[in-house]
Amino acid sequence: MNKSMLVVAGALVLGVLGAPTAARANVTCSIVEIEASSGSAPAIDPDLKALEKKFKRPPLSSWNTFKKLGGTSLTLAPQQAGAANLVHGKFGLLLRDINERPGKKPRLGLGITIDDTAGKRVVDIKVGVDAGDYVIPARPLPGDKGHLVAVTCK
Amino acid sequence: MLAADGEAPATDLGPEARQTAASVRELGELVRGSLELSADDAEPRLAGLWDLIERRLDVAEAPAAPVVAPAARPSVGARIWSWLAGHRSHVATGLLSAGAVAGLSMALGPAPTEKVVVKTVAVPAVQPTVMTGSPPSVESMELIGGSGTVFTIGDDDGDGDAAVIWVEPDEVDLTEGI
Repeated sequence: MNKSMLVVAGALVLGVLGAPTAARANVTCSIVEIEASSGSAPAIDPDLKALEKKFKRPPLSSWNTFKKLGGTSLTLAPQQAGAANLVHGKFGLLLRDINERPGKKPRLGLGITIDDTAGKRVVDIKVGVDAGDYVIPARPLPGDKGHLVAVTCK
Repeated sequence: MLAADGEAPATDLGPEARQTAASVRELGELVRGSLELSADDAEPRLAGLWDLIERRLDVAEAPAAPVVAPAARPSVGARIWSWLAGHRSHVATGLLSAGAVAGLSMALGPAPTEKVVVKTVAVPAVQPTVMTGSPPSVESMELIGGSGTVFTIGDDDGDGDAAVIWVEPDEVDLTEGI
């Protein structure tokens, strides 16, 4: 009898302790740094297969060569920020909020910042995006190249 | 005839009648003697016959033996009850032991496991729920030293929408400050 009471008490304690953890939804964001250019023949990095169709749509279709410079992932809780170093600067991400909607994908509020190699902030945006959708800040680089950072969160 | 039987005096008869009566009397003696001899001869046989008749009469007059009805066979329930009544102590001991064992097994044994019955039920196909979404929206955009344009690329085949934020740096105005 005492054993059963101990088990029940332990389950209650675990439930109480685990409840806040279960209620907090973490979001994992994938960040891929891409260098775009125009070449004689189109070439897309095999690691960028998921974005291949989007590269063929304007305005990205102005380039035909896409090279992956690097990639990382950040797991964030609401109101939590993360950062990652890029080849061409620094990337910052803030998960502002998560809006769960019945019958729809969760809507994520993101804050994205990009600093150039000199440390100058060139992008500071706040977007609302569905889970799984992409946000791709793009800016030109010398030599008619493009610097793309593809961000998607689930 | 009366004189021959001795019922009338012979003196009243004539000589002829007296002679006839004597003849009849003699003839009667002869017949009587013959019959007595026959009766003597048949006496042992008659005696045996009489004994036989007596025995038969004894048998006929003897009271009939009482008919004993066969005892009624007890029913199965009665026999069981009778057996139980005869083994009352054994039955009580057995029931008490079984109860004790059952109580111990319930108290010490493992909890009864639920019996899971798996049934295959044909369920009509349900169309997968399509999670609808909305395109990315830019709430605020701050671009230092440039301007931005937002392009939305639609969901081609389930790979998600994409918002391309094209940042165009401002061109340096060489005439500025002149």
